[in-house]
Amino acid sequence: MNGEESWVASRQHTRELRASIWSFSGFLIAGLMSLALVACSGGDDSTPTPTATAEQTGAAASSTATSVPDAEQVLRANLTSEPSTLDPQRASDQVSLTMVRNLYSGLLRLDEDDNLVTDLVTEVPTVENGGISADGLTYTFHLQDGLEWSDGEPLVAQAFIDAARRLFQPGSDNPYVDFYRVIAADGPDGDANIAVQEALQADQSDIASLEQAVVDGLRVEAPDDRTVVFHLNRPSPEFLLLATLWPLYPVRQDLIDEHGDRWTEAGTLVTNGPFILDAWEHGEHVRLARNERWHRDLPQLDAIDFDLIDDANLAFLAYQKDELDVVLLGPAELVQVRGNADLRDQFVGYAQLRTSAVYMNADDPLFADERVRQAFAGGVDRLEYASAVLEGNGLPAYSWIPPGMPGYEEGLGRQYEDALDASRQLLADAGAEGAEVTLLLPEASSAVLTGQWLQSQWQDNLGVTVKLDIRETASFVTAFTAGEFQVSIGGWAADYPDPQNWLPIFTSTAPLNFGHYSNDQYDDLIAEAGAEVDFDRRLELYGQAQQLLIDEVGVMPLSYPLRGALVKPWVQGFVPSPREGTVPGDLYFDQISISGRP
Amino acid sequence: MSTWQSTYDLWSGARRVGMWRASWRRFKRHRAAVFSAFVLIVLIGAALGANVLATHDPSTQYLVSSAEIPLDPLAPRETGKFEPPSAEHWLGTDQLARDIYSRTLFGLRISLAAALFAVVVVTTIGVGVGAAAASGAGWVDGTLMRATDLAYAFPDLLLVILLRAAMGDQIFGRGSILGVSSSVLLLFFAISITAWPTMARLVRAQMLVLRGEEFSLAAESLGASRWRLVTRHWLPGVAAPVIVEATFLVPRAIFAEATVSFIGIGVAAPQPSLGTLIADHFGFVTVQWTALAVPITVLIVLFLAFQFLGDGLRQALDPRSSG
Amino acid sequence: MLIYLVRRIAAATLTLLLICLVTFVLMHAVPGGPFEARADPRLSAEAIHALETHYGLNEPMPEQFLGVLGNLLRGDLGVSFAQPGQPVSSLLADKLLPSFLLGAMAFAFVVGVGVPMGIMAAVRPRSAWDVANLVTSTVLAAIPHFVIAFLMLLVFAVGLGWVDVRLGKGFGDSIASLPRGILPAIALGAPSMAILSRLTRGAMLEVMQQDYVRTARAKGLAERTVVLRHALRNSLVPVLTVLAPIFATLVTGSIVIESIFGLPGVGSAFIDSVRQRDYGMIMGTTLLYAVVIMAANLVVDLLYPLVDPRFASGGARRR
Repeated sequence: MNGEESWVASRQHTRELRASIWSFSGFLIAGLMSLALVACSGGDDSTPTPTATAEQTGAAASSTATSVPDAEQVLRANLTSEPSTLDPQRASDQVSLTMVRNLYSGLLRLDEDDNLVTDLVTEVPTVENGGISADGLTYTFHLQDGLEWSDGEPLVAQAFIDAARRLFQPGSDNPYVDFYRVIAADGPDGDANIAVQEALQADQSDIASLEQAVVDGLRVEAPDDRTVVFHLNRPSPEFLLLATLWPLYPVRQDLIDEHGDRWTEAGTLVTNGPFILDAWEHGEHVRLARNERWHRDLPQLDAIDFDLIDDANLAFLAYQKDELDVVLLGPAELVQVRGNADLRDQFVGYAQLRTSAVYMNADDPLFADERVRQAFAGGVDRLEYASAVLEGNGLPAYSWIPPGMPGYEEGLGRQYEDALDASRQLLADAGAEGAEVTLLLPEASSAVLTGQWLQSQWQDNLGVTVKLDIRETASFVTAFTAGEFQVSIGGWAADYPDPQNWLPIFTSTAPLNFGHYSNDQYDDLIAEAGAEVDFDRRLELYGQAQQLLIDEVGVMPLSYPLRGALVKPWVQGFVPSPREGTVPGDLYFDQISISGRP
Repeated sequence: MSTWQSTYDLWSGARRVGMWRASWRRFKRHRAAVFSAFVLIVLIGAALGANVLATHDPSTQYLVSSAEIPLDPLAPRETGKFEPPSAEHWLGTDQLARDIYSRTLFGLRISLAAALFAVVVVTTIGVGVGAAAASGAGWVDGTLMRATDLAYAFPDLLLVILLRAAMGDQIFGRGSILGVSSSVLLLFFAISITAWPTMARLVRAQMLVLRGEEFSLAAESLGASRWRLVTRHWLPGVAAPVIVEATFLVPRAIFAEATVSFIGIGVAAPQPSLGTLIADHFGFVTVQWTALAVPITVLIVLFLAFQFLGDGLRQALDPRSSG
Repeated sequence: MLIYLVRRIAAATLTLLLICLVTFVLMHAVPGGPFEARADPRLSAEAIHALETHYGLNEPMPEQFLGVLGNLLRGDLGVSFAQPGQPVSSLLADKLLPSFLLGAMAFAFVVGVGVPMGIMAAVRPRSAWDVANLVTSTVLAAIPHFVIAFLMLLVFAVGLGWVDVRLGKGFGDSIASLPRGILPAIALGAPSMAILSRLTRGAMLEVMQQDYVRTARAKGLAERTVVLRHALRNSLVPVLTVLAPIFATLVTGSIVIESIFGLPGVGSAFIDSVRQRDYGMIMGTTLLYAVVIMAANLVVDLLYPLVDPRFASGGARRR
């Protein structure tokens, strides 16, 4: 669920598009990722260090000083853009998620080691404790005693039913709704869903009523105030993971009805997480305050001040002037950190479950030839990209699934390492020497930088001509998602730790297969793996599929972006995570305290 | 009638020759303008001769071989990026280890060429609209001036941003025209769209004055066509202020491009222009300040030179200014 | 006078209507809609289509335009797409204050410094003061204001540490926050100030050579009286004509300053709205600026008669 905030932080100066535009959780499209200059490697050697959980090298984060907490317990951080919403059923961009995950608590959560643990419920449902039915279709959650909203109202099971219904509501624009189709109506994907899809394709006008039918058909129930039951339309082991994510966070339907669209404003928003919304000056500043009614150990922080600074360089300057306590770094900032002993001590580097990649359009006459795709995949020096262009804020990528994820294979795709001669030969075999290609890019400066580097690599190494087609974001997205490009850049980040989140997107008919890679054998492997219940066998099938994907260059992995941040020495209890949102450590702000700030 | 006309033409022709000569004399006395003209000739020469004067290819990346660069972000490294000025790279290197000196030369060329293009567009529209309004019927004048009011009341920067986003690649395609990439041309075209009303107002006002002068009334009463009056007398009559206005327009167009590039909505062109160089280099000014100082200095020098040149031309071309 | 005012306002309304139309056509000509601009590839083409239908974006353009126009006439700017549920008018209202405060401060700086500088230069032409003035104003006018702003930030915030890097934070929230706007206002106004001071100097010099000024001097009036009572008043007219465009420049030009100093203003809102294809916000911002520009022009036209009795007959169109 790590999205892309990084390219924003990395961008060279001001305002390319705001983060919210390109940051979405889960999926990073183009450019975004590759550009990811934000992170930094955990390891100091040149081998990729698989890090399932955050690995930190910085002294700051690990400093466990025994000093006395300050009187003023306020953390100051910057947001790269305005949160587009604080509504958990609408949020999908990273900035919004940073807010939403600090404002709400869900049924379950992942702890610092990515273990599934309880949050609002008494125990994690299993078949043994009766929480999951034997057929794997019914999930029962029992809420803890005495749960309260921040206004003192009791938190009851109906709040989760309301959440699920809002997620599927007509006009809902949350792309995450697709994850939750397992709780919709009957049939493998819910018959009502299929009807909606057909109506859309036929451009019928009664979509809203069909969508309403989906909402009415949702199979979620609250037999009593402390029990929530989900009936799935097919067995789905990842449903427990879905229960940790924000789309199922509870909401106060009574307040939504009362305040309408303005229910998420300061003063009206009532939440159940570690913090409450204290102030929200749009486009400027958000302040969260401790929720005294939270059900877990109360945060030590009295408040968190989020200042909107969309320029990495300015945020870095503000950090140096002690106006911020944590900040993300881009490559240009990294150069300055490297040369400054104090800043080096405050550096924290950790991995993210992300891959940035090049997409070549298999529908294009030139790139339809897999040899051409292989030539381009072998025609760049990924090590140079990671170490020089990203300044070490990324690792060279050969496997599509990144280190730290089940399905990562270190030896995969090494035929594209040091393969310049072979690549030129492949290009000659395909009769494509001296070809002219156009590289589609979004206007973000980090994307343009990556594009210019790719251009120079391919031109110098393969003797082809590469033109850059740089577009404003929305027009870029329109072209990219429609597959109207020859070559482009993009990427992916994990929503949940399973290859299923990474590989089915490249099947022939998958809507997110923007490069239009198509191979029947691949489709069969993915279908087989999806139906396989044996974990090892499933992983093996996914492994074969990924081998095919890389060998035929259905996608060309370029780098695994890392995260580099600075954390002031007075910030205690900082915990970075590969799953976090836009602000370093934002998943565990409830553990932070301030001690010794001048 | 024909006799009168030819005599008049001869006379006015002679007057014009004399006017230009006197103007040149006056111009020579404006020292700042003469010096500026010299500076501009040097800069334009540098832009035209960029291929010869550049020490490096502007887009080649002189990155150090990857084998020598550690991956650990904190390990000290030589990447070839952000190099300070040296004998090899006179003004240092940028964030992709490209030669800043060579890029600035080519950026200057692109900016000047695009600004020239903007001046042509503004002058064409401005003079066309202004002349039509001043010489046409009342309703023509009314309509055109309403259009001018509209363009004038439209916030400039907003219009540039909207136009640029809306026009996409529909006007200039995706390639390049005479070496200037279509996205740069597009931006300058959008800037031109915001700049023409001033020119149109100027031309209209001047021509209305000429229209009211006796020679016009006389010529018209003698049956000279309106077209002939416009092309032979009124247009030459507004040449001087148009030239002056056009001179001031060049630096303004380059400034506008820099501002829009800085905002970041001016879609970074693959080609360097002064504006994109400045915008790109802002991000690492604290690492390598010369990278920012150089294009900004060029921008300022260009602005001043055109400003003084414009002042000089205004004085020189205004017959009222004491010789 | 009243008739003149009514006519001007009627003309302005027509212009606004046309601006509205042009903006509408332009923003819909921009490829990609508000949901593509969200850049969330998990939103399929079908989902986007459904959302657009839901929000009425698939209606024929003329109908949509009439809808927008109808709402505008009722004073309703619609709802933001980028911040779902937020009315455009309240979003704009939030940003309006800081932008206009900054514009006003910059304007005060431009007039308060530019005019006296010009006068002093005109009183003693070719003196050291005049030359210093010439150099300063020439250089200031030649530096883009974003460069001035960034240099100020580097010098005063990073180098000297006198002010915060996030200078714009909280600007406009209270009286106490106003000093935070001083540096941004100076950066914003510097180029205009330079131009105004040169213009004032020129206008003053011209007036000072007029016969009545010589007469006043010949009468033995104090130089101070001559300058302030006679020359200044009459040289104000050309100065006044540029104040409207300067004010408009200051307000719209703050886009760049806002982004450097982190000021939450209308300029940033506009850029974001274009990127996000937030139609209501684009329209709202454009109309707001257009109204400012036209109002500024109108105010100047109304001021003419007060400064120069020759215009008192009214109805004199300026441009």
